[in-house]
Amino acid sequence: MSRNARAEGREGGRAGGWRAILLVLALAAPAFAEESRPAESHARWNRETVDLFARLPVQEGGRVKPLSTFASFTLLALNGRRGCTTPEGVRLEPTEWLMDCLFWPEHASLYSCFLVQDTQALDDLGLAHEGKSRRDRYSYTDLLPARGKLFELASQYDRIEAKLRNSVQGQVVNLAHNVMQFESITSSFYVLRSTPAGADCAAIARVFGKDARPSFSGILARAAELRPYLGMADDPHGSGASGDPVLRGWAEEVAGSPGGLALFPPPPGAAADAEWLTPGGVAAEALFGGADMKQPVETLAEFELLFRLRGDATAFGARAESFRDRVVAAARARGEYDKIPLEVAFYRGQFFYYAQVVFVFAFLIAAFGWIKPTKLVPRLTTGTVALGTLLLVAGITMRCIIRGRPPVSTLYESILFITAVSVIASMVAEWINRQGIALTLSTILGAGGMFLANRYEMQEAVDTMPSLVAVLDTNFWLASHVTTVTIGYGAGLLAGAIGHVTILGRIFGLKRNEPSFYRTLASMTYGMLCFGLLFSVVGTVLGGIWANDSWGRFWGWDPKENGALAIVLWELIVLHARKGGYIRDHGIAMCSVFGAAVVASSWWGVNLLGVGLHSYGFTSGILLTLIGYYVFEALVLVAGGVAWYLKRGAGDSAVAARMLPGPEKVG
Amino acid sequence: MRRFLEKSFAFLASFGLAITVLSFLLVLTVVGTVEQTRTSLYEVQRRYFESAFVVHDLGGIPVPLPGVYLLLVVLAINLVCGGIVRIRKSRSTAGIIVAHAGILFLLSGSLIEYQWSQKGHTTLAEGTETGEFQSYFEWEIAIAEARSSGRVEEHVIPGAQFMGLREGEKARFVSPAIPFELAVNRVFANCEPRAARAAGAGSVDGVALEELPPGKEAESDVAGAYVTVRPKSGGAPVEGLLWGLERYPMSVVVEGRRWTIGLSHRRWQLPFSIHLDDFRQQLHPGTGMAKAFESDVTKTRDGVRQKVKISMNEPLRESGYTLYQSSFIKPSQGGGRWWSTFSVVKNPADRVPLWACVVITAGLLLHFAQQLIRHVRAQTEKRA
Repeated sequence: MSRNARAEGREGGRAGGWRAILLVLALAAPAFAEESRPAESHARWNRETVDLFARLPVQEGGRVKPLSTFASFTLLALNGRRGCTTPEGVRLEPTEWLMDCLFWPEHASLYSCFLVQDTQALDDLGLAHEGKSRRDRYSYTDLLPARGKLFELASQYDRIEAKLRNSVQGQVVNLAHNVMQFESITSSFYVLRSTPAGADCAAIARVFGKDARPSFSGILARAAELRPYLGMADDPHGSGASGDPVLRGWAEEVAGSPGGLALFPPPPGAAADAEWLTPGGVAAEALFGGADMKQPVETLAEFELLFRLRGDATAFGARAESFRDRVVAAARARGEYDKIPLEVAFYRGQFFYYAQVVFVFAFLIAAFGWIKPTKLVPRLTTGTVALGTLLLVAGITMRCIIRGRPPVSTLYESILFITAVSVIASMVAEWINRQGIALTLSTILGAGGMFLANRYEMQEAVDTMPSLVAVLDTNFWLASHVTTVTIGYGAGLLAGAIGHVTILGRIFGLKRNEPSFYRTLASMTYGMLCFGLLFSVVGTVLGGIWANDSWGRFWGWDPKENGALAIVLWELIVLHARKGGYIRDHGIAMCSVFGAAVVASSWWGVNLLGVGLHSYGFTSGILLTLIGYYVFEALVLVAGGVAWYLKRGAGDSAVAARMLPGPEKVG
Repeated sequence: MRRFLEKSFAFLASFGLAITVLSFLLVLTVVGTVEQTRTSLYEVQRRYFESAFVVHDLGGIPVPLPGVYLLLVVLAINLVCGGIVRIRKSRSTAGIIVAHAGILFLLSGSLIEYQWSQKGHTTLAEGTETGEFQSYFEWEIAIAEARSSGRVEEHVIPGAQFMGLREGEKARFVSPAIPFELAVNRVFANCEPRAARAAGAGSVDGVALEELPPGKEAESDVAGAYVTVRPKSGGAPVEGLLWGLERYPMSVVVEGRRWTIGLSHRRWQLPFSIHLDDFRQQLHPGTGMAKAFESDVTKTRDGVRQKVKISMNEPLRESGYTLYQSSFIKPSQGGGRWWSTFSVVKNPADRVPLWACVVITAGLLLHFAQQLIRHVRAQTEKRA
């Protein structure tokens, strides 16, 4: 039954390849690493040039994205933040850092942009770290002496299942991955620097002249003339099986150069899903492939000129525009550029960061209102929450447009969407009940949700708009099942939040003499549970129908399915218990708090089990946070139980008797 | 008697029973989920979700629990009695009744699927054709006479008749069409043949079956059995060993006729055949992540050929059977050709969940909308 997952896992995972790359990389450091000190100094990039590069399209992770997005997440993964400081104390933004990596790798290797969480990992590598704190940043040059050992150990630890690795092993694997990524970027254009000269290579001498030293792109532009000297067995014009050994050796080296940035669109007429090319890829296609590579080679020629002009800011800027125009035209012709400006605007806008700030501000206003009530405070809070919601919804909408997907297709997006749902549902509840409670809750949920989303993004440090596995590649089911069931999560969490207010309010004597306050809370909790049940039931059944269409069974007792079922069952239990008169307002509050824990288990908990078909939802590193949450909820429930025990028979039954709509004792 | 019946009905229709059943269902859902980290999903389903009772191991303490199958039966009774028959019939409860009816519809669909569906898979290489599929879990013993005409008549013993044998138990099978009796002496749910340490009991021609613990994925388990062929005419019995992955079946000659006996996953015939024309695996560019799996097949039924594409989320539905794109084998592992695996399901209640979903949604929407409108009105009046 799990063949899909295995098939996708086998194809999606590249652990084996990873290991092989590590072993290859362990053999040699990139050439620039041999240059211990940069010979040239370089000035900071022009703002316009940085902006231009930020908008350049690049293919990575299966999609074409702005270079700024790639730079941002790469630096986040390496450095733990979206910024980097040079030894001179200049703070670089991600695109600037990436440009330095591309054009001034010998400088970039001195930037302390590798975050090491624990120096114990460095001890294992035999690296000195005097004067550094336990969690600190290191440059590539700092790590270079232990490079071989790093890759050797990482290759060894990579064989251990991720969840079984200890902290140091995990860090070593992570650090090796980051170093590999850095080398891949910094080395990607190093191939341009070294080309065979006519004096050393007979083939070059014959095509370009004896004293010529053609450029990289110059050689590729005349690849057709050089191909006979490559000694390809199937070439009808081949000059024997060996060809020119110097030319062939160089060609094989550049064509096989690993990694690099895929900045060059495929030639016109290539398939819609054709891969973008690295300089090595352009060389491989031009020298050994059969496609017409005129356009990519011309684009590469522009880039090569850029490389030579790196020390002249004005000339570099002008040439960068020309390069940009070529790349953008080619990308646009393939229909792969249209969303790039929007994505740049999305990340520049920092909608979710500002939404968090606005929600926190709204909370402060609401808190002030609870201390010193005025007529202005609720209006101001409502306006501020509306602004935060607007930012959140705008961000979600932009993501939908950029990816052409419904709002939720990843765990990260589920946080955004659930936050939006719970905040909007709170606003509706406030509009109906006008007690100020739901409004205050909306500020807490908004701020908390945005904090969680931003924290998750920082922790995962991967593109939050990734390519989707085959089974998820369906907008119909993403829009129907995922959206519906996620709304159910949001409602369940909001019910839990109101439950907290009820329990903690009773414990701390909030509105002690206003039974209507708790009546309203109880009816709000009940309403949210109904709302949650509707979407949870429908979403869960829709999920089953989707599974029936993709895996051939409606229900497979998969952990993620069971998580959704658990929410449905719990909400049914609570609503039936209320209807049957087994629980009253305090009981509903207690149950809704427990229900929020059930939602958290379904949302995050089952992802930690590491089993089932929903492998694309697996995550790690949140166990402690989740345990902390459960402990907190357990404490709230115990406190709520004690409060109920102490006050039972006092005012609670009187309050419950007047609840609307009234419980109905059956039996 | 009447009073007893009334009390019984009241119990069966009660909220208390509903809450109890739902609570047990929740507990079993949780323990069954966690159990999947230790045991195969197939085993968990069998023990927790398809049983009447289960004894759960809670850190060494055996905890008896009702199984999900039993709980769903009780829930259905409770739904009928309480949620359909007994519930007050009014405009305000109409939505609840409809939703309950939808859940009953869903449960009945599940029952039909559980009792009468066939689930399996078929794997074929590009350029090949098949008209059958085989189970992931169920086994069968096929006895066939090897005739020179090429026509083969198989006699099949379903796994249900021998896979449950306990140690020391034997099962004997006879048929008027077969000149011998087949005794299954010992069965292993998962095993592999090894060279026997010592000749004699427990080995056949120096080979013995070594029992293996159940795998994490039950469909990977390979069954095996020791069998004895006893000619009805009274000739010497022949000891044999059957193994699920054996390339060639056991062969015996009885009364001058050659018979083959093989253990394999249970097979079913399709009322049509499919020919795999082409398989494609599309990757997200520059990654190893699959974007799509697609198979172009030619379906032939009653001589009528039709080209169909089967892909993830787009199965082929034909004559009550549904074929889903399930897996594949790369040319590097499949002898130079792509192989495509299809899950095959015959489920008479295939579309029931969809219709049940519509009914449940309608019922809940109606009920909760009524509740909300009533509440908003009350709040508005209160403020006025």
